[in-house]
Amino acid sequence: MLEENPESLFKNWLTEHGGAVLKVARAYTLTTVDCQDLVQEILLQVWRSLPQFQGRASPSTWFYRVALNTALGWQRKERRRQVRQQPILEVEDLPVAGLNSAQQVAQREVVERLYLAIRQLPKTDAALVLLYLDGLSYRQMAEVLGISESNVGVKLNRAKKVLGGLMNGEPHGP
Amino acid sequence: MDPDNLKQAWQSQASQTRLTIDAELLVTELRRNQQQFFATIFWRDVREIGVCLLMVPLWIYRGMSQSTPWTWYLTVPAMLWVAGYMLVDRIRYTRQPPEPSESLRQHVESSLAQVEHQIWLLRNVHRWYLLPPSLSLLAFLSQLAWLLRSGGWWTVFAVIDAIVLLALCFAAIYRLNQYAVRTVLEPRHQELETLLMSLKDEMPEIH
Repeated sequence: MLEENPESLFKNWLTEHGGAVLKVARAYTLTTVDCQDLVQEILLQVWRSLPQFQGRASPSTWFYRVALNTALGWQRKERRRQVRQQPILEVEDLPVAGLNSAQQVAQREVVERLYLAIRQLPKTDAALVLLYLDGLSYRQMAEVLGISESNVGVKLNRAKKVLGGLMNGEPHGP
Repeated sequence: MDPDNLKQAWQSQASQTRLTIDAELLVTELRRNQQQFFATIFWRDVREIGVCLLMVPLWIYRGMSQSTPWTWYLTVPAMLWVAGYMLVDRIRYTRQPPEPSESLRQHVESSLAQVEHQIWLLRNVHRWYLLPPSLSLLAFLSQLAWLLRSGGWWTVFAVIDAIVLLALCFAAIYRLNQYAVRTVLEPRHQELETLLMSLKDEMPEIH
């Protein structure tokens, strides 16, 4: 169980792993409003599950588990859409040091295309690709998904091929 | 494009994205949401079980104050049965959502079990929810018809009207439940099964 105060731990982890939550939410939603809604839902689940955190998994693996489980079961709810006077989260793209503006635009375009391609993948393949792109090891991916490392390898190879095809403009069947 | 280049572009872009979260506001919002969640669960249980239990003394009082025949009181065990069934079901299958920090596979499996149980419950709603009060009310109406048999055809028509009204009411409840199964639970069940299938072991491709 947790030794640190859950509220301060939650805030610390938010700083460290908030980016992962945002990426998962962007990959599983189409609009900014839905993305913000899903981010909030994921954070709510993190908050609820925090007392059960046993420390058996690393915080980053645990965060991915909660984020992906929530994203895969998330459904858009019209009634949640309410405009807050004060935004809870803001996303800002910073200029990349060492790259000129044309290179930055090109890089952003690649990432946008990646999101588009990921959204076309089956849900579990999308999860695998997200974990791969974020640099998780096979063992960590296996922990998040609950499958064997060898199965991660097989599935990831297939998903990477499909992703490559989608990035090259090839259509992806159902 | 090479997957490793994509990975590099993804990570360098990610490192250049600044996410600013108002943690204080978020924690306040989360606390409010959690309170709403527990309130929703509490009031749903009160609505579903409490109403049945509340009906018991009300039913007894009405029966005594109107000196109705003994079959009127058969509805009391029927309502106790429905309330008890729901209570036992709540205890056996807690309605808390599956733990979100499980692995994806475990989460999908527990969600699937929960959805399957909900489908079973709604598909069999006529057995555990509709049949007991139907039988007790039918017995009451039959006894009433017997006691008022001197009314002749008028009594027969009145009792038939009451039975038809009751049947329509119960049929509507049944159809509403089957509609929920078809439109909400079955698509979710299929989605979860697809997810689970996609997590099963795969053989590597042979070239």
